[in-house]
Amino acid sequence: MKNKVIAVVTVVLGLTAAIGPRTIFPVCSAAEMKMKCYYTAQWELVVGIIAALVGVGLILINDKKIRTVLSVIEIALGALIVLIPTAIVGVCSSPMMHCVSVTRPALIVTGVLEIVTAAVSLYFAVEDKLGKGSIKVAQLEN
Amino acid sequence: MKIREIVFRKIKNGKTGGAAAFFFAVLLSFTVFAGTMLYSSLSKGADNLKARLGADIAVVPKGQESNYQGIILNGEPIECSFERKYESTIRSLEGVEKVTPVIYLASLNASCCSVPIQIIGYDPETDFVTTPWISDECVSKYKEGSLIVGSNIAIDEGNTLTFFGRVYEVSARLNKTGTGMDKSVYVSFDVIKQLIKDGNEKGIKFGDESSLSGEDITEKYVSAFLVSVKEGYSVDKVAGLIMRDVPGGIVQSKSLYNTVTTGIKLISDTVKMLIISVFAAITFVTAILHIYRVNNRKKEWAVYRMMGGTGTWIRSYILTESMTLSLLGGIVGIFFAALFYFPFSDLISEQIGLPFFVPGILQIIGMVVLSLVITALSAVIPGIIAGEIASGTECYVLMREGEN
Repeated sequence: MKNKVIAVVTVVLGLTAAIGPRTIFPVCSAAEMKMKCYYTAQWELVVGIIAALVGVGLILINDKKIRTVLSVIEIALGALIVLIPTAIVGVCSSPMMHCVSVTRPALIVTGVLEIVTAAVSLYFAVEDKLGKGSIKVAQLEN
Repeated sequence: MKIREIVFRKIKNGKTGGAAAFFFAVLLSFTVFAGTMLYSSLSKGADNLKARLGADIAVVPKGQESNYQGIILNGEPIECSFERKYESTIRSLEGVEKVTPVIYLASLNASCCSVPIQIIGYDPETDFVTTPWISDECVSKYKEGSLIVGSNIAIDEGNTLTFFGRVYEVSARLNKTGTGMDKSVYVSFDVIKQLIKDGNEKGIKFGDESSLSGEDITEKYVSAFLVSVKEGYSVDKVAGLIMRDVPGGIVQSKSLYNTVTTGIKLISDTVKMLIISVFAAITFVTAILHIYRVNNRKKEWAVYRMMGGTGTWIRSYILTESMTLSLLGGIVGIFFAALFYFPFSDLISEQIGLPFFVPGILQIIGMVVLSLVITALSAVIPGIIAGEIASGTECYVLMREGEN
């Protein structure tokens, strides 16, 4: 059950990264010329949709090995969500622009949450694969 | 096995029943960290403003006083025209040490920005406000006719900025202050003349007088005079003399600073009240939650007692478990607060409209420690109460409780 809940969260975060830069926290309007943030929104759409699809895979697939691989992919996609507006493509250079003060921070938060959620999913997948281990007899102090 | 090892193992296996206490610890540390960060950022912004104001009095055209505050606090572009002949009048007044004219121009088509930015023109011969900052931070790079930009101004790839079709070299960028000055470009009067000339050629007029040329604006009209008062003289008295002889409005640095500190005090009082109320409420709720979860684990305490655990051992165990849950919640709360606070600091600064400067790493570490200490403290009393309840009952009673 907890695996499914975590997988649903990764899907929601992936969709947020995909459509957020066009709806909830939009990049600057590209009426006259296409700025850097326009391309960031394009890349985020692709990466976000892939992240959501990988999340759907996590919901549907129960095999531990595949879940481990999907979680690792999801972590990498979360890192990409952060890196696209900060390093790979970037946003407008003026700190006064909307894409700098709203879109980029929102994508950073979404990406970091995606990484954390995928890391938890990976932890559960690896733990399930290895088993919980034998219970050691506790020796109490005193 | 040591107490903390058992605690960590139980938490890892989710056998403590402490999820709700953990959640409240997240909430408390989030509030404390975000609140103290907000307060520190505003205080640091106010300190920067105080250091950067330079002049004691600004003399502006009547009715432009609030606009002047807007330039300093938020970098909102304004233009105003004030006859320069009053410079000598102000200079001759008793108690006036230095006077310098400044020109504020709103640029409508800088290559850097889609929004207008403030261009601040200074007279290099008399300036005592802008030049000290230039000489402090970038004297080696400064060239005549080049621009100095605030930290929020984006420049073109070739280290240039284009105004009204003309390319200017950017010689230096000032450090971030968290005030409206970060959104300004500083130029000497020679550059201002050129800017106005280029603007006029493109059909853009500056100042209240629509026909003013670049020469008129620097020689006959300026936007304001900045005045420094001699030591030992009252700023209020000098301001009174200026108001008597010059038909303009007065903005005193101390009143500007007071406006800011009043705003900050209001926010800091709210933050303090919020932290105290959240701390009190969460300590109370956590106490109930710890008592509840300890009561649900009576058989476990009985087993520890049968294995030789003393009442003191059980009390230490429960206190360690409560504080560990709170500390873990505290770490998660700080993580979430930092995750939202740092990326969104520009937006928060914009929304608050007061000088705002994120503090340095040492201060941030201090606030992390403070948040963790407060969060851990919120679990001390609940942990002690819960420990007393668990250790105070006889082993036999604990074991048989719930049986018929």
